[in-house]
Amino acid sequence: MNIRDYNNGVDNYADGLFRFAIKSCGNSDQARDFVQDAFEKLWTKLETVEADKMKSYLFTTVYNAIVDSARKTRRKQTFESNLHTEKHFETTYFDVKEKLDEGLQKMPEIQKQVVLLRDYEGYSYQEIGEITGLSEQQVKVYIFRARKFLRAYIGHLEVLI
Amino acid sequence: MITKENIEAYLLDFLEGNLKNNELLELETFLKENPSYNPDFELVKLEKDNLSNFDKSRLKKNLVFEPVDFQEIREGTAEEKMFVASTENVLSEVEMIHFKNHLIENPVAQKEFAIYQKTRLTSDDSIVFPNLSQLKRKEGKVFVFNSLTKWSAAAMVIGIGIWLFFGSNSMQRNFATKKTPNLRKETQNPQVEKPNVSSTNDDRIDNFKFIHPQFNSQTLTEQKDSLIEKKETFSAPIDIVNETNVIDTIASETNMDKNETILTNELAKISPNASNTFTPIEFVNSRFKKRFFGKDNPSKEEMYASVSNKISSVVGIPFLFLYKHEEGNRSFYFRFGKFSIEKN
Repeated sequence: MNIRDYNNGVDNYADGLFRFAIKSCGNSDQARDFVQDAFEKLWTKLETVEADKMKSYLFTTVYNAIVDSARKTRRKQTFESNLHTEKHFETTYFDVKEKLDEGLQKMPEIQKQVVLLRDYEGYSYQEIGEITGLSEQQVKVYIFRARKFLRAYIGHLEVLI
Repeated sequence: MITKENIEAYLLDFLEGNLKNNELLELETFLKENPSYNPDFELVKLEKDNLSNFDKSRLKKNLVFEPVDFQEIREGTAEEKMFVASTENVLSEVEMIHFKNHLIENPVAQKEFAIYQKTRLTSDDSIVFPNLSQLKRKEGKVFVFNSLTKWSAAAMVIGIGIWLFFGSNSMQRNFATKKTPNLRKETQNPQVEKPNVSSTNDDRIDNFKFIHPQFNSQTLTEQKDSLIEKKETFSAPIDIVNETNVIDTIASETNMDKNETILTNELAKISPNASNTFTPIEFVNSRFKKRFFGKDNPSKEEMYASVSNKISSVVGIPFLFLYKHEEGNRSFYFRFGKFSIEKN
Protein backbone atom coordinates (compact mmCIF):
# COMPACT_ATOMS: atom_id res chain seq x y z
CA MET A 1 0.00 0.00 0.00
CA ASN A 2 1.29 3.48 -0.77
CA ILE A 3 0.40 6.96 0.52
CA ARG A 4 -2.17 7.48 -2.22
CA ASP A 5 -4.00 4.32 -1.16
CA TYR A 6 -3.80 5.49 2.43
CA ASN A 7 -5.29 8.89 1.60
CA ASN A 8 -8.00 7.25 -0.50
CA GLY A 9 -8.75 5.10 2.53
CA VAL A 10 -9.21 8.24 4.60
CA ASP A 11 -11.66 9.60 2.03
CA ASN A 12 -13.58 6.36 1.65
CA TYR A 13 -13.67 4.88 5.13
CA ALA A 14 -13.16 7.57 7.77
CA ASP A 15 -16.80 8.64 7.82
CA GLY A 16 -18.10 5.07 7.91
CA LEU A 17 -15.67 4.18 10.68
CA PHE A 18 -16.71 7.25 12.62
CA ARG A 19 -20.42 6.40 12.29
CA PHE A 20 -19.72 2.82 13.33
CA ALA A 21 -17.67 3.97 16.31
CA ILE A 22 -20.09 6.66 17.42
CA LYS A 23 -23.03 4.25 17.31
CA SER A 24 -21.02 1.64 19.16
CA CYS A 25 -19.64 3.75 22.00
CA GLY A 26 -22.15 6.62 21.97
CA ASN A 27 -19.47 9.25 22.47
CA SER A 28 -18.27 11.37 19.56
CA ASP A 29 -14.94 12.35 21.16
CA GLN A 30 -14.12 8.78 21.95
CA ALA A 31 -15.25 7.70 18.49
CA ARG A 32 -12.94 10.27 16.92
CA ASP A 33 -10.03 8.96 18.99
CA PHE A 34 -10.77 5.41 17.89
CA VAL A 35 -10.77 6.41 14.23
CA GLN A 36 -7.60 8.49 14.57
CA ASP A 37 -5.81 5.67 16.36
CA ALA A 38 -6.89 3.22 13.68
CA PHE A 39 -5.42 5.39 10.94
CA GLU A 40 -2.24 5.95 12.98
CA LYS A 41 -1.81 2.20 13.28
CA LEU A 42 -2.49 1.78 9.58
CA TRP A 43 0.17 4.38 8.83
CA THR A 44 2.79 2.49 10.80
CA LYS A 45 1.85 -0.68 8.88
CA LEU A 46 1.76 1.04 5.51
CA GLU A 47 4.16 -1.40 3.93
CA THR A 48 2.59 -4.55 5.33
CA VAL A 49 -1.16 -3.95 4.90
CA GLU A 50 -2.41 -4.49 1.37
CA ALA A 51 -4.71 -1.89 -0.16
CA ASP A 52 -7.63 -4.28 -0.57
CA LYS A 53 -7.39 -5.31 3.10
CA MET A 54 -7.32 -1.74 4.36
CA LYS A 55 -11.05 -1.44 5.11
CA SER A 56 -11.09 -4.70 6.99
CA TYR A 57 -7.95 -3.71 8.91
CA LEU A 58 -9.44 -0.36 9.91
CA PHE A 59 -12.75 -1.81 11.07
CA THR A 60 -10.98 -4.58 12.97
CA THR A 61 -8.79 -2.02 14.74
CA VAL A 62 -11.73 0.18 15.67
CA TYR A 63 -13.78 -2.84 16.72
CA ASN A 64 -11.01 -4.06 19.04
CA ALA A 65 -10.59 -0.60 20.51
CA ILE A 66 -14.31 -0.34 21.18
CA VAL A 67 -14.45 -3.77 22.80
CA ASP A 68 -11.44 -2.97 25.02
CA SER A 69 -12.95 0.33 26.00
CA ALA A 70 -16.32 -1.26 26.70
CA ARG A 71 -14.70 -3.83 28.98
CA LYS A 72 -13.01 -1.11 30.99
CA THR A 73 -16.16 0.92 31.45
CA ARG A 74 -18.67 -1.90 31.68
CA ARG A 75 -19.70 -1.11 35.23
CA LYS A 76 -20.24 2.52 34.40
CA GLN A 77 -22.22 1.65 31.28
CA THR A 78 -24.47 -0.70 33.21
CA PHE A 79 -25.22 2.05 35.68
CA GLU A 80 -26.04 4.51 32.93
CA SER A 81 -28.08 1.88 31.15
CA ASN A 82 -30.21 1.37 34.24
CA LEU A 83 -30.82 5.08 34.50
CA HIS A 84 -31.77 5.13 30.86
CA THR A 85 -34.23 2.27 31.30
CA GLU A 86 -36.08 4.14 34.00
CA LYS A 87 -36.30 7.13 31.73
CA HIS A 88 -37.58 5.02 28.87
CA PHE A 89 -41.14 4.91 30.10
CA GLU A 90 -41.41 8.67 30.15
CA THR A 91 -40.08 9.15 26.65
CA THR A 92 -42.28 9.74 23.63
CA TYR A 93 -40.90 8.42 20.38
CA PHE A 94 -41.56 10.20 17.15
CA ASP A 95 -40.15 7.65 14.77
CA VAL A 96 -38.90 4.12 14.59
CA LYS A 97 -35.32 5.26 14.00
CA GLU A 98 -35.21 7.05 17.32
CA LYS A 99 -36.53 3.99 19.06
CA LEU A 100 -34.09 1.74 17.23
CA ASP A 101 -31.16 3.93 18.23
CA GLU A 102 -32.16 3.62 21.82
CA GLY A 103 -32.61 -0.12 21.48
CA LEU A 104 -29.18 -0.34 19.91
CA GLN A 105 -27.57 1.23 22.95
CA LYS A 106 -29.25 -1.29 25.23
CA MET A 107 -28.27 -4.25 23.13
CA PRO A 108 -25.42 -6.54 24.28
CA GLU A 109 -22.12 -5.18 22.98
CA ILE A 110 -21.21 -7.97 20.61
CA GLN A 111 -24.68 -8.08 19.03
CA LYS A 112 -24.54 -4.33 18.51
CA GLN A 113 -21.16 -4.45 16.75
CA VAL A 114 -22.22 -7.30 14.52
CA VAL A 115 -25.51 -5.78 13.43
CA LEU A 116 -23.85 -2.39 12.84
CA LEU A 117 -21.22 -3.94 10.62
CA ARG A 118 -23.95 -5.78 8.77
CA ASP A 119 -26.34 -2.90 8.23
CA TYR A 120 -24.00 0.08 8.04
CA GLU A 121 -21.24 -1.44 5.97
CA GLY A 122 -23.03 -4.36 4.33
CA TYR A 123 -20.37 -6.87 5.35
CA SER A 124 -21.05 -10.55 4.74
CA TYR A 125 -21.22 -12.95 7.67
CA GLN A 126 -17.77 -14.24 6.80
CA GLU A 127 -16.25 -10.74 6.69
CA ILE A 128 -17.85 -9.85 10.02
CA GLY A 129 -16.36 -13.04 11.41
CA GLU A 130 -12.90 -11.99 10.22
CA ILE A 131 -13.25 -8.55 11.81
CA THR A 132 -14.64 -9.72 15.12
CA GLY A 133 -12.79 -13.00 15.41
CA LEU A 134 -16.06 -14.96 15.52
CA SER A 135 -17.06 -17.94 13.43
CA GLU A 136 -19.60 -17.40 10.65
CA GLN A 137 -22.12 -19.43 12.61
CA GLN A 138 -21.65 -17.29 15.70
CA VAL A 139 -22.14 -14.17 13.63
CA LYS A 140 -25.47 -15.51 12.34
CA VAL A 141 -26.59 -16.31 15.86
CA TYR A 142 -25.73 -12.80 17.06
CA ILE A 143 -27.47 -11.24 14.07
CA PHE A 144 -30.55 -13.34 14.74
CA ARG A 145 -30.57 -12.34 18.40
CA ALA A 146 -29.98 -8.70 17.56
CA ARG A 147 -32.93 -8.59 15.16
CA LYS A 148 -35.17 -10.29 17.69
CA PHE A 149 -33.99 -7.87 20.36
CA LEU A 150 -34.73 -4.85 18.18
CA ARG A 151 -38.04 -6.26 17.10
CA ALA A 152 -39.02 -6.76 20.74
CA TYR A 153 -37.78 -3.27 21.57
CA ILE A 154 -39.84 -1.63 18.86
CA GLY A 155 -42.93 -3.36 20.15
CA HIS A 156 -46.06 -2.59 18.21
CA LEU A 157 -45.74 -0.07 15.43
CA GLU A 158 -49.10 1.39 16.36
CA VAL A 159 -47.61 2.55 19.66
CA LEU A 160 -45.19 4.80 17.83
CA ILE A 161 -46.52 8.22 16.95
CA MET B 1 -35.39 -37.86 -6.86
CA ILE B 2 -37.47 -35.35 -8.77
CA THR B 3 -38.23 -36.27 -12.36
CA LYS B 4 -40.47 -34.88 -15.06
CA GLU B 5 -43.00 -37.50 -14.10
CA ASN B 6 -43.32 -36.63 -10.42
CA ILE B 7 -42.61 -32.88 -10.56
CA GLU B 8 -46.29 -32.00 -10.25
CA ALA B 9 -46.56 -33.90 -6.98
CA TYR B 10 -43.54 -32.07 -5.64
CA LEU B 11 -44.96 -28.71 -6.72
CA LEU B 12 -48.21 -29.43 -4.93
CA ASP B 13 -46.34 -30.44 -1.79
CA PHE B 14 -44.31 -27.26 -2.10
CA LEU B 15 -47.47 -25.13 -2.30
CA GLU B 16 -48.81 -26.90 0.76
CA GLY B 17 -45.53 -26.35 2.60
CA ASN B 18 -44.94 -30.04 3.08
CA LEU B 19 -41.46 -30.29 1.59
CA LYS B 20 -38.42 -30.84 3.76
CA ASN B 21 -35.30 -28.72 3.39
CA ASN B 22 -33.39 -31.22 1.26
CA GLU B 23 -36.45 -31.68 -0.97
CA LEU B 24 -36.71 -27.92 -1.36
CA LEU B 25 -33.12 -27.69 -2.49
CA GLU B 26 -33.68 -30.57 -4.89
CA LEU B 27 -36.76 -28.84 -6.28
CA GLU B 28 -34.87 -25.59 -6.69
CA THR B 29 -32.12 -27.36 -8.60
CA PHE B 30 -34.60 -29.16 -10.82
CA LEU B 31 -36.47 -25.95 -11.68
CA LYS B 32 -33.24 -24.22 -12.55
CA GLU B 33 -32.30 -27.03 -14.90
CA ASN B 34 -35.86 -27.24 -16.33
CA PRO B 35 -37.25 -23.72 -16.38
CA SER B 36 -40.25 -24.83 -18.47
CA TYR B 37 -41.64 -26.50 -15.34
CA ASN B 38 -41.40 -23.30 -13.32
CA PRO B 39 -45.04 -22.60 -12.33
CA ASP B 40 -46.60 -19.16 -11.93
CA PHE B 41 -47.16 -19.28 -8.19
CA GLU B 42 -48.63 -15.82 -7.96
CA LEU B 43 -51.40 -16.78 -10.42
CA VAL B 44 -52.14 -19.93 -8.51
CA LYS B 45 -52.42 -18.05 -5.27
CA LEU B 46 -54.61 -15.30 -6.73
CA GLU B 47 -57.00 -17.86 -8.04
CA LYS B 48 -57.05 -19.47 -4.65
CA ASP B 49 -57.74 -16.17 -2.95
CA ASN B 50 -60.56 -15.46 -5.35
CA LEU B 51 -62.23 -18.68 -4.41
CA SER B 52 -63.06 -17.62 -0.93
CA ASN B 53 -62.78 -14.60 1.33
CA PHE B 54 -62.54 -16.83 4.37
CA ASP B 55 -59.42 -16.08 6.46
CA LYS B 56 -57.79 -19.46 6.79
CA SER B 57 -54.54 -18.18 8.17
CA ARG B 58 -55.47 -19.09 11.72
CA LEU B 59 -56.17 -22.62 10.69
CA LYS B 60 -52.90 -23.08 8.84
CA LYS B 61 -49.97 -24.87 10.38
CA ASN B 62 -46.91 -22.83 11.26
CA LEU B 63 -44.16 -22.44 8.72
CA VAL B 64 -42.40 -25.77 8.74
CA PHE B 65 -39.14 -25.20 6.95
CA GLU B 66 -36.23 -23.01 7.94
CA PRO B 67 -33.96 -20.92 5.75
CA VAL B 68 -30.74 -22.74 4.94
CA ASP B 69 -28.57 -19.90 6.26
CA PHE B 70 -30.21 -20.01 9.68
CA GLN B 71 -30.79 -23.75 9.93
CA GLU B 72 -28.10 -24.37 12.51
CA ILE B 73 -29.34 -21.76 14.95
CA ARG B 74 -30.75 -23.65 17.90
CA GLU B 75 -33.15 -20.99 19.09
CA GLY B 76 -36.28 -19.25 17.85
CA THR B 77 -39.07 -20.61 15.67
CA ALA B 78 -38.84 -21.40 12.00
CA GLU B 79 -41.05 -18.42 11.27
CA GLU B 80 -38.77 -16.07 13.20
CA LYS B 81 -35.81 -17.38 11.28
CA MET B 82 -37.67 -16.72 8.03
CA PHE B 83 -38.44 -13.18 9.15
CA VAL B 84 -34.82 -12.50 10.04
CA ALA B 85 -33.45 -14.24 6.96
CA SER B 86 -35.79 -12.26 4.72
CA THR B 87 -34.81 -9.02 6.45
CA GLU B 88 -31.20 -10.02 5.89
CA ASN B 89 -31.89 -10.78 2.21
CA VAL B 90 -30.35 -14.23 2.44
CA LEU B 91 -33.35 -16.27 1.29
CA SER B 92 -32.89 -18.32 -1.84
CA GLU B 93 -35.35 -18.01 -4.72
CA VAL B 94 -37.39 -21.01 -3.63
CA GLU B 95 -37.32 -19.98 0.02
CA MET B 96 -38.54 -16.55 -0.96
CA ILE B 97 -41.46 -17.96 -2.93
CA HIS B 98 -42.39 -20.23 -0.08
CA PHE B 99 -42.14 -17.36 2.39
CA LYS B 100 -44.28 -15.07 0.24
CA ASN B 101 -46.94 -17.70 0.06
CA HIS B 102 -46.86 -18.01 3.80
CA LEU B 103 -47.31 -14.27 4.19
CA ILE B 104 -50.19 -14.17 1.72
CA GLU B 105 -51.97 -16.85 3.69
CA ASN B 106 -51.17 -15.33 7.05
CA PRO B 107 -51.97 -11.63 7.68
CA VAL B 108 -50.61 -11.80 11.24
CA ALA B 109 -47.26 -12.94 9.87
CA GLN B 110 -47.39 -10.04 7.41
CA LYS B 111 -47.63 -7.55 10.27
CA GLU B 112 -44.90 -9.26 12.19
CA PHE B 113 -42.63 -9.31 9.16
CA ALA B 114 -43.28 -5.59 8.59
CA ILE B 115 -41.93 -4.89 12.08
CA TYR B 116 -38.89 -7.10 11.48
CA GLN B 117 -38.11 -5.18 8.35
CA LYS B 118 -37.96 -2.02 10.42
CA THR B 119 -35.07 -3.47 12.42
CA ARG B 120 -32.69 -2.81 9.55
CA LEU B 121 -30.45 0.03 10.66
CA THR B 122 -29.69 2.87 8.29
CA SER B 123 -26.53 4.91 8.70
CA ASP B 124 -26.93 8.63 9.20
CA ASP B 125 -24.90 10.17 6.40
CA SER B 126 -24.97 13.55 8.11
CA ILE B 127 -22.50 12.15 10.66
CA VAL B 128 -19.04 12.70 9.19
CA PHE B 129 -15.57 12.64 10.65
CA PRO B 130 -14.52 16.17 11.63
CA ASN B 131 -11.33 17.52 10.03
CA LEU B 132 -10.85 14.69 7.61
CA SER B 133 -7.75 16.41 6.27
CA GLN B 134 -5.88 15.91 9.54
CA LEU B 135 -5.85 12.18 8.92
CA LYS B 136 -4.28 12.55 5.49
CA ARG B 137 -0.56 12.40 4.78
CA LYS B 138 1.45 14.38 2.29
CA GLU B 139 2.49 12.42 -0.73
CA GLY B 140 6.17 12.09 -1.52
CA LYS B 141 9.10 10.25 -0.04
CA VAL B 142 8.31 9.20 3.49
CA PHE B 143 10.23 7.57 6.24
CA VAL B 144 8.01 5.20 8.12
CA PHE B 145 9.04 4.39 11.68
CA ASN B 146 8.47 0.68 11.78
CA SER B 147 9.82 -1.47 14.57
CA LEU B 148 13.09 -2.17 12.73
CA THR B 149 13.90 1.50 12.20
CA LYS B 150 12.93 2.31 15.77
CA TRP B 151 15.25 -0.34 17.15
CA SER B 152 18.00 0.70 14.75
CA ALA B 153 17.68 4.32 15.85
CA ALA B 154 17.71 3.25 19.48
CA ALA B 155 20.79 1.09 18.96
CA MET B 156 22.56 3.93 17.17
CA VAL B 157 21.82 6.42 19.94
CA ILE B 158 22.84 3.92 22.60
CA GLY B 159 26.06 3.28 20.68
CA ILE B 160 26.85 6.99 20.53
CA GLY B 161 26.06 7.27 24.21
CA ILE B 162 28.36 4.41 25.15
CA TRP B 163 31.13 5.85 23.01
CA LEU B 164 30.70 9.22 24.68
CA PHE B 165 30.69 7.85 28.19
CA PHE B 166 33.22 5.08 28.01
CA GLY B 167 35.04 5.22 24.71
CA SER B 168 35.84 8.86 24.06
CA ASN B 169 38.36 9.31 26.87
CA SER B 170 40.28 6.17 26.04
CA MET B 171 40.19 7.08 22.36
CA GLN B 172 41.62 10.48 23.18
CA ARG B 173 44.33 8.83 25.24
CA ASN B 174 45.12 6.47 22.41
CA PHE B 175 45.25 9.32 19.98
CA ALA B 176 47.58 11.27 22.22
CA THR B 177 49.91 8.38 22.98
CA LYS B 178 49.88 6.47 19.73
CA LYS B 179 49.41 9.06 17.05
CA THR B 180 51.64 11.79 18.48
CA PRO B 181 54.26 10.10 20.65
CA ASN B 182 57.00 12.39 19.47
CA LEU B 183 54.94 15.49 20.19
CA ARG B 184 54.54 14.50 23.85
CA LYS B 185 58.16 13.57 24.27
CA GLU B 186 59.46 16.75 22.74
CA THR B 187 57.09 18.82 24.80
CA GLN B 188 58.57 17.36 27.98
CA ASN B 189 62.17 17.49 26.76
CA PRO B 190 62.46 20.12 24.08
CA GLN B 191 66.23 19.89 24.05
CA VAL B 192 66.27 16.23 23.12
CA GLU B 193 66.99 15.60 19.50
CA LYS B 194 64.22 14.19 17.34
CA PRO B 195 63.87 10.52 18.30
CA ASN B 196 61.89 7.87 16.46
CA VAL B 197 61.14 10.05 13.49
CA SER B 198 60.54 7.89 10.54
CA SER B 199 62.41 8.49 7.38
CA THR B 200 59.09 9.00 5.63
CA ASN B 201 58.16 11.93 7.85
CA ASP B 202 61.62 13.42 7.44
CA ASP B 203 61.19 13.07 3.72
CA ARG B 204 57.84 14.87 3.91
CA ILE B 205 59.37 17.78 5.81
CA ASP B 206 62.26 17.88 3.37
CA ASN B 207 59.82 17.73 0.48
CA PHE B 208 57.78 20.56 2.01
CA LYS B 209 60.87 22.69 2.41
CA PHE B 210 62.11 21.72 -1.01
CA ILE B 211 58.84 22.67 -2.71
CA HIS B 212 58.45 25.83 -0.64
CA PRO B 213 62.00 26.94 0.12
CA GLN B 214 60.75 30.20 1.63
CA PHE B 215 59.42 28.15 4.63
CA ASN B 216 62.20 26.69 6.68
CA SER B 217 61.82 25.67 10.34
CA GLN B 218 62.48 29.17 11.53
CA THR B 219 59.92 30.84 9.29
CA LEU B 220 57.27 28.31 10.21
CA THR B 221 57.79 28.99 13.92
CA GLU B 222 57.56 32.71 13.26
CA GLN B 223 54.41 32.17 11.28
CA LYS B 224 52.86 30.23 14.17
CA ASP B 225 53.80 32.85 16.75
CA SER B 226 52.32 35.51 14.50
CA LEU B 227 49.09 33.56 14.21
CA ILE B 228 48.84 33.02 17.99
CA GLU B 229 49.40 36.72 18.50
CA LYS B 230 46.71 37.53 15.96
CA LYS B 231 44.23 35.23 17.67
CA GLU B 232 44.97 36.65 21.08
CA THR B 233 44.38 40.15 19.77
CA PHE B 234 40.88 39.16 18.70
CA SER B 235 40.27 37.21 21.93
CA ALA B 236 40.01 33.98 20.04
CA PRO B 237 40.26 30.78 22.09
CA ILE B 238 43.85 29.56 22.15
CA ASP B 239 42.83 25.96 21.57
CA ILE B 240 42.06 26.50 17.93
CA VAL B 241 45.54 27.79 17.24
CA ASN B 242 47.61 24.72 16.64
CA GLU B 243 49.92 23.39 14.01
CA THR B 244 47.04 22.51 11.76
CA ASN B 245 45.92 26.11 11.77
CA VAL B 246 49.39 27.25 10.95
CA ILE B 247 49.69 24.96 7.97
CA ASP B 248 46.12 25.74 6.88
CA THR B 249 46.81 29.44 7.12
CA ILE B 250 50.01 29.12 5.17
CA ALA B 251 48.26 26.95 2.62
CA SER B 252 45.36 29.32 2.16
CA GLU B 253 47.55 32.44 2.06
CA THR B 254 49.97 30.95 -0.43
CA ASN B 255 47.38 28.87 -2.38
CA MET B 256 49.29 25.69 -1.57
CA ASP B 257 47.86 22.27 -2.04
CA LYS B 258 45.62 21.39 0.91
CA ASN B 259 47.15 17.95 1.02
CA GLU B 260 50.25 19.48 2.50
CA THR B 261 48.43 19.80 5.83
CA ILE B 262 49.48 16.20 6.33
CA LEU B 263 52.63 17.64 7.84
CA THR B 264 50.75 18.82 10.89
CA ASN B 265 52.31 16.30 13.22
CA GLU B 266 55.80 16.91 11.95
CA LEU B 267 55.41 20.61 12.54
CA ALA B 268 54.60 19.83 16.14
CA LYS B 269 58.26 18.98 16.52
CA ILE B 270 59.14 22.63 16.21
CA SER B 271 56.28 23.75 18.49
CA PRO B 272 57.61 25.30 21.72
CA ASN B 273 54.26 25.09 23.52
CA ALA B 274 52.55 21.89 22.52
CA SER B 275 50.65 21.49 25.82
CA ASN B 276 48.18 24.20 24.79
CA THR B 277 47.10 22.27 21.71
CA PHE B 278 43.99 20.06 21.27
CA THR B 279 43.94 16.91 19.24
CA PRO B 280 41.24 16.88 16.52
CA ILE B 281 39.16 14.31 18.47
CA GLU B 282 39.36 16.40 21.63
CA PHE B 283 38.23 19.42 19.67
CA VAL B 284 35.28 17.60 18.02
CA ASN B 285 34.35 15.93 21.31
CA SER B 286 34.30 19.25 23.11
CA ARG B 287 32.12 20.88 20.45
CA PHE B 288 29.81 17.86 20.32
CA LYS B 289 29.27 17.84 24.08
CA LYS B 290 28.55 21.55 24.09
CA ARG B 291 25.98 21.19 21.32
CA PHE B 292 24.47 17.93 22.59
CA PHE B 293 24.43 18.55 26.35
CA GLY B 294 24.72 22.35 26.46
CA LYS B 295 27.97 22.14 28.47
CA ASP B 296 31.64 21.54 27.75
CA ASN B 297 32.00 19.14 30.66
CA PRO B 298 28.58 17.82 31.72
CA SER B 299 28.43 15.36 34.61
CA LYS B 300 27.77 11.75 33.76
CA GLU B 301 24.30 11.92 35.33
CA GLU B 302 23.45 14.89 33.11
CA MET B 303 24.68 13.05 30.05
CA TYR B 304 22.69 9.92 30.94
CA ALA B 305 19.53 11.95 31.48
CA SER B 306 19.97 13.90 28.25
CA VAL B 307 20.65 10.81 26.14
CA SER B 308 17.78 8.93 27.79
CA ASN B 309 15.37 11.75 26.97
CA LYS B 310 16.52 11.90 23.38
CA ILE B 311 16.13 8.16 22.93
CA SER B 312 12.65 8.26 24.47
CA SER B 313 11.56 11.05 22.13
CA VAL B 314 12.98 9.32 19.02
CA VAL B 315 11.69 5.84 19.80
CA GLY B 316 8.46 6.88 21.46
CA ILE B 317 9.01 4.35 24.26
CA PRO B 318 10.09 5.23 27.81
CA PHE B 319 13.86 4.82 28.06
CA LEU B 320 16.19 5.37 31.02
CA PHE B 321 19.85 4.54 31.51
CA LEU B 322 21.74 5.26 34.74
CA TYR B 323 25.28 4.28 35.70
CA LYS B 324 27.17 5.19 38.85
CA HIS B 325 30.72 4.40 39.84
CA GLU B 326 31.51 5.65 43.33
CA GLU B 327 34.28 4.38 45.58
CA GLY B 328 34.61 1.12 43.76
CA ASN B 329 30.85 0.44 43.79
CA ARG B 330 29.16 0.23 40.46
CA SER B 331 25.38 0.50 40.05
CA PHE B 332 23.55 0.17 36.79
CA TYR B 333 19.91 0.68 35.84
CA PHE B 334 18.44 0.21 32.39
CA ARG B 335 14.78 0.55 31.41
CA PHE B 336 13.23 0.29 27.94
CA GLY B 337 9.43 0.33 27.87
CA LYS B 338 8.29 -2.29 30.35
CA PHE B 339 11.66 -4.05 30.32
CA SER B 340 14.13 -3.06 33.03
CA ILE B 341 17.44 -4.31 34.47
CA GLU B 342 18.98 -3.19 37.73
CA LYS B 343 22.41 -4.23 39.00
CA ASN B 344 24.31 -3.04 42.07
